[in-house]
Amino acid sequence: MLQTGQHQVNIAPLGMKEPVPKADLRRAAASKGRWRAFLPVPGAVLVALAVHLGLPNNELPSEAGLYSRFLTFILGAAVAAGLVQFLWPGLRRWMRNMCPIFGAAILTLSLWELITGVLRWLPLPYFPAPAAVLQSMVNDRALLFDSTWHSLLLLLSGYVLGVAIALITGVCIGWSTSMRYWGMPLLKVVGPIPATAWIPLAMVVSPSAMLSAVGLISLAVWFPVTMLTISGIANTRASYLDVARTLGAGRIYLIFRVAIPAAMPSIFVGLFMGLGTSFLTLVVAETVGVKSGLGWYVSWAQGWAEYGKVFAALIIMAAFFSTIMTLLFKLRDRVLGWQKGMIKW
Amino acid sequence: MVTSSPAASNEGSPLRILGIKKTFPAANSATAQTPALDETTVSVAAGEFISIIGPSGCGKSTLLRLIAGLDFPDSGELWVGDAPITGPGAERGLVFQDPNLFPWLTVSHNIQAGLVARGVLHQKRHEVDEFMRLVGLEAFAHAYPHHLSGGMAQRVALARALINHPQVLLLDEPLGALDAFTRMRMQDEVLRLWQARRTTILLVTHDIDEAIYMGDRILIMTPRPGRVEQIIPVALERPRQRNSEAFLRLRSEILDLLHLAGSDSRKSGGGPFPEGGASGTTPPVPGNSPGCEISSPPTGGTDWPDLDAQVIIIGGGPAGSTLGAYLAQAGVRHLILDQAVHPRAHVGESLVCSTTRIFQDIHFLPVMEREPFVRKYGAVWTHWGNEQEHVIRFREIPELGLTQDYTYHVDRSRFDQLLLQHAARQGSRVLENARVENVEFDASGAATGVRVKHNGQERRLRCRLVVDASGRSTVLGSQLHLKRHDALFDQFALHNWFEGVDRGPAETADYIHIHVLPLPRAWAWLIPINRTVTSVGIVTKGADFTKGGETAEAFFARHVASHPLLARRMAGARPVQEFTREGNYSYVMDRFAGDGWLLVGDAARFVDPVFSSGVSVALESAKRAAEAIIHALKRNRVSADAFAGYERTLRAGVDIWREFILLYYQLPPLFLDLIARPDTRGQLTKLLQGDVYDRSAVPILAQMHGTIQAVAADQQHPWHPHLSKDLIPAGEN
Repeated sequence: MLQTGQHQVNIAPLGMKEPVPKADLRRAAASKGRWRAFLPVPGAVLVALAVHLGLPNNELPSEAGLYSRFLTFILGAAVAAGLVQFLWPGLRRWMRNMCPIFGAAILTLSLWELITGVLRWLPLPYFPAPAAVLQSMVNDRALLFDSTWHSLLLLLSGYVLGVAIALITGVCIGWSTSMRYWGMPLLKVVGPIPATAWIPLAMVVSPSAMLSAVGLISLAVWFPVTMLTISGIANTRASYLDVARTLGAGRIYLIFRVAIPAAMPSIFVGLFMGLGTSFLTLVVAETVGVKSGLGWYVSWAQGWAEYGKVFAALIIMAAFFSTIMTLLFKLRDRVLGWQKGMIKW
Repeated sequence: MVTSSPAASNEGSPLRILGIKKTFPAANSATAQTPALDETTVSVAAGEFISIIGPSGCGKSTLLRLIAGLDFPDSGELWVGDAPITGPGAERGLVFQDPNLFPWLTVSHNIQAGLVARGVLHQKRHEVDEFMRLVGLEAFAHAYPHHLSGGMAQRVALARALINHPQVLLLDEPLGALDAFTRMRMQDEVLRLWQARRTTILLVTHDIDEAIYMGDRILIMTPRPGRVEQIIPVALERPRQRNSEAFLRLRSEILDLLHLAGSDSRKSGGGPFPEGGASGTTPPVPGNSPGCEISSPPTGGTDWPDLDAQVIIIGGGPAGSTLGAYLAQAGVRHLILDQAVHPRAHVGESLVCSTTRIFQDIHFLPVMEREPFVRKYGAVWTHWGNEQEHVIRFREIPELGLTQDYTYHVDRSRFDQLLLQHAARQGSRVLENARVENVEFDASGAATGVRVKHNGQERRLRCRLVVDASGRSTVLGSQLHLKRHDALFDQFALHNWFEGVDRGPAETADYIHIHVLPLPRAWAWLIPINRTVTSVGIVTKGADFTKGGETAEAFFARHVASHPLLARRMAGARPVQEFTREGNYSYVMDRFAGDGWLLVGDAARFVDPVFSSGVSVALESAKRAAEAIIHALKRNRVSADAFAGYERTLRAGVDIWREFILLYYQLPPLFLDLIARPDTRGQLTKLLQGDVYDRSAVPILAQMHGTIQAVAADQQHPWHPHLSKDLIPAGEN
């Protein structure tokens, strides 16, 4: 910054990045966000550490040590990020938005520990303290990873197969009146049966448990996606089709370039509904037939009364399913970017 | 069949409609049939433009759908050229009232849809750009339809139909949903395309004026059952004058045929508007032919032609001329009185982007493009405390509805003269060197006319409506004591034209430069007027100038020297004329309208020009005043309440300018900081382009307000010394 001598006293920084005296930060409106980004997580971790270390509990020393290290690691990471955000506005915006939620999650963890480990209001071994769950997760990580991987494979193959079939049947039934005449009654009768109700039959018919699970998941996905594809295609605005016809469009163009894009919002509703039912079917199928996956792991751990592992698997399942859901939302945001006023995930 | 250029001629085909009938199943019964079209026979020549008009239910749209091949007649035949119509085809394009753009495709993909559908995209991809240019939308190639205004979407729909080079173009009320001005512009655009390509066009409309303005022949249809009642040839020269006598006569004939003719419009001799009230008779205005130049009436005392008009506009500056052009387009008889003889000097030399839209409305843009005005692509701010240039480029935020990413710097004497001449060519009557002594009112307080002095003669002119566009002379505001000074902006300006000014880096040389000076609320403008001349002005608080007792030159030099960068840029500058002062800058009128009168532009309100808002306010207010006036005359009500909406809109728009300017002055470093930041500069750019009207909320202003409050409360804040504290309390209300 070039400055002329006599004015030096009054020169003000023209950017916001210049350091501002610390005492004033609380007062200046523009600076408020920095503390909101910084404080929640370290604060919550300190509370959790206080509960964990300061109050007498029934945790095993090894578990307790691991949990302390875990909390300390989070504290370190949060403080580091909190310092970086003072210099990096992009990170600050994200942290200002997310850190209160993270803080609340850590406080919930601490409340859980208070109820289970310190006050012992809930019966053991059904409700272990977070330290024990963390320990189970670390000890059994290989098997948990393997189970997650199998669940992912099963879910994806079932879902993709179901969606592919559903799109074909949906477009056919939605577009062609004769297909609709024959297809709709079948769909109306067979579709509403929950996929899990087919399990006894599927086990008999299918050569392997894995195959029957894939079939069941596809069936679960197929019905909602088909229904909403039909409705989307059949409700394509007649004027779009008229316009396309006057532009010289043939049937292929009408179906693939007009009807299907116009049906996309509706198809995505079906994809979300199908994803929900596929989670349900996956867990049930793994519990009763398939000998791998997170669903199997939960019932297996429950058989050995290792409730720490049950909780560990539930936490991983939550992260796993919500990640897949988020990915589907991201895909929708890309594909339906043309829609006005779409709600972002 | 298809040539590569969109300007290819004679693409049209003849069309024969032979005895077709069409019935639809009635909605409430399985067996009953509703006749939609009864025994219709029409034959259309190649390249002919047919307007189809009639009340709803007369089968207009059914006829188009049958020709398009989307429906089939119960009996009869349809032929295009030598081929019978058996279904939809690309040689017959159809544009609906709703543009029906595919919302999932961008503008360019929508336009190329026809090429994709016919599988010829590969060979004809270059035509996509041509057609995008043809309808002036190349800047929006990658926008999605929901970003477009109604007029733009309809232009895309037209381009999409035209890219197939149809032999027959079917237009089903495509302009029905547009506002009056966009509509007139689109009509001319369709005519231009038709004249370039000689496509056969069938236009369904329910607007009689549109039918006459556009068609070679008009098909008049009647309902229940739908059939062609009559075919009327339109034997008017093109381009047609919407207010010519022959046009109006044809209009009333058609109204009679449609049994719609209102008694009002026929009593007043076929004109679209009721004629002047108190004056009784209104003889025809001489010299109202197209191409009429600015005329001075003869000076001989007695044979001064009668200049009574429906609307008298005081002042021929940008506001008055623009209003005149709009009124001329709508066929409202009016007279512009200007005190000066053009050309005459004026400040306010830099425009904002939103004015382009108005230039388009009144067909003035070609004139602007032809003149050697300097194009303004953006703005540069600097602060006296450092060397940094804060640049805003208009192209970063395309203003929707505009096809160019620049506006202009103008020599106001030339610009104002051109605009006034343009209004005269559009049909405005202009009287120069005519000083309005006062506006006359009747006993009830309604304006009835003006007393005007011209070449030493004094004369009364009567009218239904007086519009004060006298700018900072504020003829009517002063007469009615409406004027209140805006104490917050007691600003003062000293300016001149210079040669030899260094305009800085080449990229921003044509931008307006605003240099913030050390004194509170002091700044300098640098506006390129032409290749060599730059307009430079210093603006300060009024008190800062008057107290010094310096000469203008010394004052100017002292302020230039206070900004090191500005001083360097001005080092080799020579003034080319005397310094001019403008004092006592800002004011607002208590009311903008009353019974029989209306204020537009600076005559209504003047705010500090730091963001080049002056001409924009003049033009925008003229446009909105024109809408209000046309509407009021149609309803035959020119009392104050007819203009309440106008006053509200204008007040709201200028309030946003004022708020923006006020916040700017309160804390200049904040503004510079915000334009340097990518997340806020867009919003500021839009404001600086003139996007202040028809807005309910301006989040960026609220944000600025909040920050200023915080800085004001914080004595330690580094910006605190830069606050203009005297402005802050007023920011609260």
